[in-house]
Amino acid sequence: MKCRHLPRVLIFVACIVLSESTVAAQVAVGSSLTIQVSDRDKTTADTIGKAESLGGYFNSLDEKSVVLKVPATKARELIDFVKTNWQPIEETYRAEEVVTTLDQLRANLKAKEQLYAQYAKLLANADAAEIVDVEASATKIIGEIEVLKGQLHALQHRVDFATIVVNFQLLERERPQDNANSPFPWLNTLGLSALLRGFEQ
Amino acid sequence: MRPAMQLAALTLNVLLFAGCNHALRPGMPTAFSSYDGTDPKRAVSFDRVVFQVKRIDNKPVADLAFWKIALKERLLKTGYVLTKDGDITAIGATGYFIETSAPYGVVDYNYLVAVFVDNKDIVVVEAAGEVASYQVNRENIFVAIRGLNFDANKTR
Repeated sequence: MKCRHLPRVLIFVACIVLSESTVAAQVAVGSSLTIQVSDRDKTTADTIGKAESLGGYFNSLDEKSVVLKVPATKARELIDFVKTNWQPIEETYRAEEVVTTLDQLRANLKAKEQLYAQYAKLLANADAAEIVDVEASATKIIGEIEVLKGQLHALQHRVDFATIVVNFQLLERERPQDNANSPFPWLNTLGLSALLRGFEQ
Repeated sequence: MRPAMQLAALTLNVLLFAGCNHALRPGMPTAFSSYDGTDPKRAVSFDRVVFQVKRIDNKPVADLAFWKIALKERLLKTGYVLTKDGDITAIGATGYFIETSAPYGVVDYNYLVAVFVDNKDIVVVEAAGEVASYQVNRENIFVAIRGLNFDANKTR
């Protein structure tokens, strides 16, 4: 019975792995989690520590949230870590298909590089009057190539590293109720507030 | 520490503890600064951990076993979170201590109460501070409590 179904299961698993690896190569993923915390600083340190252990880093940090970057293949592990250790209130997931943009950028880059190669050839055979014009065009193309390379690099980084935003919602913490009505009067005089107040006088 | 920093630290201490008697007293934690002539007896560390000892009437008269339960119930029912409790031995008496944690403002505090029954009296020791500071001074606090001398009735 098990053997009969095994090939289908394997194919199914293979499809998942294939689709995930394909997606990981072409999709910029991001997630936003809102969690309840009692100690914001400790939570921040723990989540950053986990991101770093997965090969990631923290991108930005303020009192309300921390933005983490982890290799896209490790994003699920980080999200599971956060959801396991703290009470999640809200979770959003974003996946942006960037293959078209990537292909477009690569095509543009290739075209510009080919154009630059042509300018380089022209420059070698240009006379004195033409050199200035060709050089100016070549310089302009170099600038455009650098911009395209930068955009390509940034987009590739967004694909390689998932962005996980962890928002903190501090748990409401109640101060102990020291106005207890114990039948033993001296016990009613105890308490953190009363003790600290005594030192303020 | 550089001389300028030493001077700054000294000046800060003088400003913080104006009105305190810096001479250490028996029963007060090491490196705490004692207040002069207060009842209860009070001392404070440079990082604002406070320590207080008072003697009150044992009313209604009860033994340590009774007050252990009553004290623990009083603290836990009012919202303190138990960190540790147990017996503690001073000179000439065995008492009970309970350590708790509780939020105070935006930070967490540790709050300790120790009780000793001394015939018609109860000696109550309280200490508190921000968790990190309290933990640094915790051993000093326990040494001070263990150093309370009931044989000589020094806390009276």
